[in-house]
Amino acid sequence: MLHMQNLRKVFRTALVETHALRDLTLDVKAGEFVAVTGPSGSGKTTFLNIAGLLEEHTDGVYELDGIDVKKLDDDARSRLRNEKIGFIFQSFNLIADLDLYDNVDVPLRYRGFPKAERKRRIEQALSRVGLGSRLHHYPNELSGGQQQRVAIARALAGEPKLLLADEPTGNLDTVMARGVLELLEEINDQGTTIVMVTHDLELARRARRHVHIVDGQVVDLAEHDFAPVRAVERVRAVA
Amino acid sequence: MEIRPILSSMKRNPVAAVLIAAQIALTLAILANVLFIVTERIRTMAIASGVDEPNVFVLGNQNIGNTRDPVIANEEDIKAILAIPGVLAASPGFSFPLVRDGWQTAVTLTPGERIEGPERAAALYFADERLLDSLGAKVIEGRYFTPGEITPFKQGDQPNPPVVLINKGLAERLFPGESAIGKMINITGNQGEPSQRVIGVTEHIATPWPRSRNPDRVVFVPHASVGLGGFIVRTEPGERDRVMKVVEETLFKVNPNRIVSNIRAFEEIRSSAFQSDLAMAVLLAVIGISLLAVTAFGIVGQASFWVTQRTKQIGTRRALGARRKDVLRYFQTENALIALIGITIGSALAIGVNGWLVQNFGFDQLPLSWLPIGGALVLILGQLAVLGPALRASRIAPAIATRSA
Repeated sequence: MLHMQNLRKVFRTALVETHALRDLTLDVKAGEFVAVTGPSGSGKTTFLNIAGLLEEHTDGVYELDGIDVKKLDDDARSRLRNEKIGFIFQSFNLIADLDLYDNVDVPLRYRGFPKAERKRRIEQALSRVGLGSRLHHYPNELSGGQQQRVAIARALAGEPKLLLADEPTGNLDTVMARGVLELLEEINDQGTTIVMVTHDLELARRARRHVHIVDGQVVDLAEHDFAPVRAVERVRAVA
Repeated sequence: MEIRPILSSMKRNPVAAVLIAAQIALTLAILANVLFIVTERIRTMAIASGVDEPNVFVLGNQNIGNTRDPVIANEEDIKAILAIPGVLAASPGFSFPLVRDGWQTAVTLTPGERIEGPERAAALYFADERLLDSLGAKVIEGRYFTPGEITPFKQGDQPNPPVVLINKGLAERLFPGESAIGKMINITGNQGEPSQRVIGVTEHIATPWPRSRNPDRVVFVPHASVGLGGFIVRTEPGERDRVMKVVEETLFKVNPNRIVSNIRAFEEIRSSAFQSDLAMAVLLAVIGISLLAVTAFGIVGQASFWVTQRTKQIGTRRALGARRKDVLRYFQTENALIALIGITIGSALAIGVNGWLVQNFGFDQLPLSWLPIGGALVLILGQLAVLGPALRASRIAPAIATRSA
C-alpha cells in the first residue's frame, strides 16, 4: 500500500537547511493499522504530509498503492489524494459554515460523483459513525468527539484505501478518545489501511504495528509491541 | 459547481456578502445611468452637421454708420470675399448648423393645424443663391433657388416666400414614402392655407440646436439675410486657414466702417456647441471609473480578508482533493453569486434612479438593454478583482491542513 525507500525531505531557506526526513524507509501493507510515534520535531508530521501527498519529498522513492508519486503533477496528486486517502486531523478541520452533510460532501464533490451517489455515501458514512440523524446540524452544535466522528465519516465517504490520522484523539477527552479509537479499529477490521501519527503511547499500543521516528529516521519497528526502551523513554520525556 | 454550499455558507455569515452585494448594486445603479448619459452625450457630439466642416469658416460682421445700402454693401462684401484666392463660395448668414442661434418655425400642412409641439418645429435658414454651396451641401431632389427667387431679408421682416427647400429629415417626416417636390407647406405659423411650395430637398443638414429633439428638420427660405450677422465661407481644401487670415483685411478694404469679429473655423463651432456635453461626459466618466475602482478595491479587500480567514479551510479542501483550479473556481463562483445578487438589486435601483432623473431633469429613459450591459461590466469587474486573492488562495499548500494553529 505504502512503500517508502530512502525518503528524504530537506527544507531550505537562504540561511539554513533542515533535514526533516533522512533516508526514511517504511513499507505498510494493505489492511495494516500502523501507529507512528516520535518526539516533537522528529519528522512525524513531515512523514504524514508526504505520505498524504500534502508535500513533496526531496529524494528517495515513495509509491502509494503502486504509483510512484514523484512523477505526478499537482493536479494528479490532488486526484490521487482524493481517491486513495482519507484524512483525519487533530483539530477535525470541519468547515464551520457547512452542515454535516455538506462537510462530508466536500471530498465527494471533488471526486465528481453524481448527486444521488454523493447523497447515498454521505448518509451511509454519517450513519456508520452514529450521526445519521444529524445531517443538517452544524459542527459547533456537536461535541469534540462527535466532530471527530464527522471528520472520520468525511474520510470514509470516499472509500479510501488508506486512512491517515494525525493525532486523532489529541483534542478529545479520554472517553471520547476511546470511542474514536474503537471506531478506527472497526474501520481497520473492515479492511481499510490506517496510518496514525500520535504522541499517545496508549493509543499506539492499540495499533497492530508501531513505528518510531527520531530525527527523521525510523529507529525501530515493533509488531504488537512497543519501540525499544530508549526510544520510549525519549517519547515520555517529550510528552 | 458548489453553488448550494456557497450560498448556505453565505447565509451563515451574511454581513460581508450583503455589504459587497449592496456596493455592487449601488455601483450598477449609478454606472448604468452614467454610462447611458455619457453615451448619449457622445452620440450628440458625433451628430453630423451636413457642413463641409474642414473647409468652412464663419465670421461676424457689423457695418457701422448706416451710410451704405445694406443690400449693396452685402453684395460688395460677398464679391470681395469670393475674390480671395482659394474661396469657393460665400454667403451672408447668422444661422447655420450647430451655432445654437437662429430662427425656428412651425411647419404645417393643413389650415387650422396645431402649431405647438416639437414634432412640428423646424429651423429656418436664410439662403442666398450660394448658401448651400457655402455650407458644402447638395440638393438631392428638385432644384435650388434661382437668383430671381431670392429676396433680401432685413431686420423686422417676416419670412413668407412662395417657394422653399427642405432638408431630407423634414421631407421624410412630412411626406413619408413620397416625393416632397411640388407639395405645399405652411411655414408662417399663421395656421392658414399652405402657401409655400417645396421646390427642392437637400441632403442632411443639421439645425443650429444639436440637442433639440428634432435636430434634422430644416426649411431653407430664399432670403438673403443682409446686415444681420456675418458670413459663411467655404474654401478649397487646405486653403481655409490662409483665407481666414486675410478675410478681415479684405473686408476692411471694401469698407473700414465695420466690426469684424469671431472668425472661427467650423470645428471651433462644433467644439463650442458641445463643450458642456464634453465636460459632462468627462466628469461622469471620471465618476464612473472612480466608482468602479472603489468597488473593485472593496472586492479585493474583502476577498483578501476571506482568503486569510479561510487559510486553514482552503488547506483542508486541498488535502481532501481540491485542485488549485477548484479553489480558484470556488472564490470566483462565490464572487459571481454575490455580484448576481447585487446586479439584480442594482438593476431595479438603476431603473428607479433613471425614473427620478427623467421626472426631475428631463433625461431620456434608460433602455432596459443597458442593464445587462452594465451588469456584465460589473460581473467582469468582480471576477477581475477577485482573481488576485483567488490565485493567492489557490497557491495555499495542502500541508496547511495539518498545522495545528
